Amino acid sequence: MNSYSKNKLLNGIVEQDSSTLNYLYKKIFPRVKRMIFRYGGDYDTANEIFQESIITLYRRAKAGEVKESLIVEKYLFRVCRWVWFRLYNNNLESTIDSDFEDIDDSEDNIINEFLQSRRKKLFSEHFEKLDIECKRILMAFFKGKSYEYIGNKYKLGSEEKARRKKYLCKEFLVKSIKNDPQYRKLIGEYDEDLFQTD
Amino acid sequence: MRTYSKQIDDYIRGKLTPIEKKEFENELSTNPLLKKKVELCQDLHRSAMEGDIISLREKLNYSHIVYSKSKVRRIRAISLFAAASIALLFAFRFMLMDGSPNHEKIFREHFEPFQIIGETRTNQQDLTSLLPDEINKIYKKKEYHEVIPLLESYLEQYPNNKQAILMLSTAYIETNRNEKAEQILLELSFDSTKIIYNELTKWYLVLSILKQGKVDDAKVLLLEIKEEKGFYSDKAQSILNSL
Repeated sequence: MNSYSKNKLLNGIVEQDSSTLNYLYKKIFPRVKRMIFRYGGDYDTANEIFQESIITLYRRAKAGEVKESLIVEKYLFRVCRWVWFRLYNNNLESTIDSDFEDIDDSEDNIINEFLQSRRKKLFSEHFEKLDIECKRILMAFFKGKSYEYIGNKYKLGSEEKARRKKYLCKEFLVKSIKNDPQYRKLIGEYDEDLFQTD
Repeated sequence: MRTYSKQIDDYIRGKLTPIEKKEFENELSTNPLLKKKVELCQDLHRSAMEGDIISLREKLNYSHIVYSKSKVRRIRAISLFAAASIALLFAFRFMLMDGSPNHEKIFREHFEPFQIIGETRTNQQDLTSLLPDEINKIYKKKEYHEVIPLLESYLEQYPNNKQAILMLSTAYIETNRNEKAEQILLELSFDSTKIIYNELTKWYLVLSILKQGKVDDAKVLLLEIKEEKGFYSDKAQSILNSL
């Protein structure tokens, strides 16, 4: 197995280098899996936590929020452990001894970022299920394009029809997300109105 | 009840006038539910536009497939290896049987307490790692039940002292607290700043796992140690042969 320097590993994640990602799977995932198995977790949960931790690190590294001295392997293992105990195992005691020397942040922030990343994953999965026309219209809308532009670009006839079509697409997307069993787990502490559309 | 849906979308898309924006932000600062709604809608908007994250997820899924396939290959190799070992075991069963499970016997043959710095085989001293004499003395006298609380409290003050972690882990192993040993060794094994201890950490990790009877897990780590061709490579090979 090749070994990686700290910088090379972090850069490999930022650049989404396949051999780096393979290395992370080979080197770190078995230990994350073993830790989660020991506390009664299953394979899919271990894999989900592991992938989401890498994505969280990717976001931070890309935003320049990670120090060069960060030991990627140790960081990922600790994030996985925190997330497992805080979100899946409900055991706070096992996390209190952890601290991050190489990243200026609290455990709560890491957990919140992890949850946000999982929410985005859920939203993105449902967005991908939309038909191509809805995807295009919503994408243009999210990018801040006007209804006039959307109506013209996608030959919807008028600004009003573009508005109506966007409403229907977004409504469909929100319903699809709300019907997902994951929705309750990720957003469940709030009420039904969160995604209410006018 | 007002839902603010249009304002939320307009706010996120940057379509509010400066006055509308200020009013909306005032409302946001006093309305936590509205704030949460805005965050969720922002996530919804961004999730559709994060092409790089979608690509990373795909690559991670691919890496997972690569990992799973290599694992299957490795399990097959281990199974073949195990089958061969079982055949050998039967052939020499009268020689090998001593009443204990094989993994325990192997553990006893290979486990040695940690050599405190200055007495290590490499003689590479890390002066920052020196521990109080009192702890060293108790550890050397093999009074593990006594030394454990001392090492634990020492590590609360100096959590990065690798030597202390190795001493504590071996004390745990000696007192049959193998899961605790495994946990701290697992974490230490990710710390690449102390190259001198990396192989030793893995070695003790293997032994702590082996002592718990987790033979398959131990085999994976033993293969890793063997492939790294370090000091413990031949010993790892020898254990793999015995398993």
